[in-house]
Amino acid sequence: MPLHPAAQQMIRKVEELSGKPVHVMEDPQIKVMAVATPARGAAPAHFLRYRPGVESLDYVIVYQLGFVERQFSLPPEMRMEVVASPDEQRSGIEAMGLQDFPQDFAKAMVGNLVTQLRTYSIGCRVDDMIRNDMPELRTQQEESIRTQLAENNRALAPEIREKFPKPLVDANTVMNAAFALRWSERLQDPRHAVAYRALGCEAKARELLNALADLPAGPEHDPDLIARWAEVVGLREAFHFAPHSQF
Amino acid sequence: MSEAPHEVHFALAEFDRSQLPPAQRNLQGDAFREAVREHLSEDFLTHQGAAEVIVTQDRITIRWTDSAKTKSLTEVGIGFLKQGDHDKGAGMLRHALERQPDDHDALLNLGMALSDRGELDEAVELLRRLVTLDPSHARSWVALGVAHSRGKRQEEALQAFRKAVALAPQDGYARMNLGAALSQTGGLVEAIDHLRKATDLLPANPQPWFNLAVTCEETGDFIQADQAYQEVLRLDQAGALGQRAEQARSRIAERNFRKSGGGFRGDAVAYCLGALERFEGMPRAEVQKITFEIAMLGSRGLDVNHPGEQYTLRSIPGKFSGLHLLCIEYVGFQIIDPKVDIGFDLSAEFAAARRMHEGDSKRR
Repeated sequence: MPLHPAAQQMIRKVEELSGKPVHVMEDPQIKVMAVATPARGAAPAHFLRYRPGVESLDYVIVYQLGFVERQFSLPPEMRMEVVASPDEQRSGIEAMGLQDFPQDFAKAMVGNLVTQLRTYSIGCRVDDMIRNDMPELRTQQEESIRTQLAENNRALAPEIREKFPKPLVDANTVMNAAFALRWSERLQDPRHAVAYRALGCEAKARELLNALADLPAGPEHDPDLIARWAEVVGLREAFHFAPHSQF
Repeated sequence: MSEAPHEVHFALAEFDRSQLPPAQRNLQGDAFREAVREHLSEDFLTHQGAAEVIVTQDRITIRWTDSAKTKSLTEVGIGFLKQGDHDKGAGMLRHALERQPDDHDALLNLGMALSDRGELDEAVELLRRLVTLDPSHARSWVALGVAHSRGKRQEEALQAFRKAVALAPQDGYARMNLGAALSQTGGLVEAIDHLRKATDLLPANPQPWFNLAVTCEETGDFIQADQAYQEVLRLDQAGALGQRAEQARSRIAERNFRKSGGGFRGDAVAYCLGALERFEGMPRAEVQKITFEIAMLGSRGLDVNHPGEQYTLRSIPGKFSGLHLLCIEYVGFQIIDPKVDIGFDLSAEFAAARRMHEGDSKRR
C-alpha cells in the first residue's frame, strides 16, 4: 500500500537534510511498532523498520523520522546524543534502586528508561509538529496515541509494578502520566489521566509538561529539555550529552 | 474513535489519599473504598460513554468506553442484567442514575432488578420516582405493583395494577398481574375476567393460563381449571409451571373421582388387585418398566373419570382406562418405592386389594 503523501514528504525531507536515502521496510522481529536507525559513518541509508500490520503506519513513520529530522536540521556541531559512561550507568542503577538486580538486567532497565526519557520528551515536540503541520495525519495520530495510552495503562497493574523497585516504577509512571495528561487535554478526554491522578503523579508530571512550555521548541533545545525531564525523574546523573557520532 | 473498552487496574494501596476531600482522607475499610469509588466515578460523570469503577480489597479497576459509537451506561447495565450479572448491571444503572437521575430506562430496569432480588424498599422508591416522572407508562405501574405485591402490600399493588390496566387495556402483563392480585385478595370473579383477557393477549405464555387455572379452581370451576391447566402443560410441560399444573390436574381428577364414586371406589380396588396379581413374581426391573411407562404417559394427565379404554402401553398388551392405568402405576410404585407420591391417593383401595390378594394367596 503506498504511503500517505505526508509520509512520503517527510521521507524526502529527511533525505534532503541528511543527504542519505531512507529505507522503509517491514521487520517481524521488532517488538515496538517501529524504529528508525539514522545513518552513521559509511551506512548508505537511514533505516526505518516497522512491525507488519502496525496500525496508523503513515503516522508511525512520520513520528520516527521526526526525530531524525530534528537531528539533521541542526548543523553537525550542534547534533547531540545521549550517552552513558560506566559511572553514569552505575549512578542510574542506584538512583533507580536496581543495585540488587543482575548487572545486565539493571543496565538494560536504566537504558530503557533513558530511552523513554528521550523519546517522550522530544516525542512531544514531534507530535506537536505532526498535529500542527500535518492535519491529514491527525486521525492516525490520535488512534496511535490511544493505543499507547492503553499500553501505558497496563503498566499500572499491581502485578507488574511490584516486580520492580519503586524509584524505577515512579520514573516510568511520571513520564506516562505526563503523556496521559497532555493527551487527555488534547483529546479533550480527561479520563485518560484519571488513574495517574489517583496515584498522585500529577504534580511531577506537570513539572515535565512545564519544561515543555518553558523551553523553546527548536531542536537546538532538545538536550535542555531532556535534562529538565531527567532532573524530575531522578536520572540526571545517569547520562551525558556528546556530539552525535558519525561512526 | 476507538470502540475498544479502556481498562486500567492499580493497587488500592497506591491511591493518593490527598485526592479525597479532607473529611474522607482517614477513612478505612469499606468506607474508604466507597469514597475512592465515588471520587473516581465523578471523573466519568461528565462523559457520555459507559464507565465502571470497581474497588476491591486491594485493587482499583476502571473500565470505560468512548461515547460516540458505544452504548450508554444504561444500555450496558441492562445488557449485564440480561446476562444475569446482577451486581454489574445494578452498579452500572446506579451510575447512570447518578449521572441522570430521571433516566426512565435506568429507573425501570434497576427497580425491576432490585425487586427480583427482594430489595423491595429501594425498588419501590425507584419505581415510585419513575411513575411520578411519567405517570402514563403502564409498564412502570406494573413493575411498581409487582414490587408492592412481593412486599405483601396487596392494596398498593392492586392500585398500581389497576392504573396500568386503565392506561393500557391491551397489555397482557398488566391484566395478568391485576388478575393475580385480585385472586390473592379474594376478588375471584373480577380476577377471572382479567386473567381470561391476559390469556387472549399472551396466548403462548403459560403464566396467565396458570393463574387462570388456579383462580378457577378456587371458585370451584374445576372444568375450566382443568382446561387451563392442560394449556399450561402444553406450553410448559417440562417447566416448573407444567409440574404444578400436572399436580393440580391429578388433584382435580382425584376430587372428581371421589365425588363420582362416593368415596371408596370398588372399581379401583379391582384394578389394584389385578395389578398385584400381574406383578406377583415379576422381576423388579419389569415392574419398574411398566410403572415408568405409565408414569410417562400420565405426565400429561390420565383421564381417570372417563371409563372408556382409551390408552395402550408398549409393555402390556391391551387397552386400558385412565383409572386402570393409574391403579397399576400406584401398585407398581408401592412395589418399587412406596415413598413416591403419584399425586393421587389410592391408599384405601390399595390396602383393600392387598388384603384380598393376601387372602387369595393363603387359599392357594
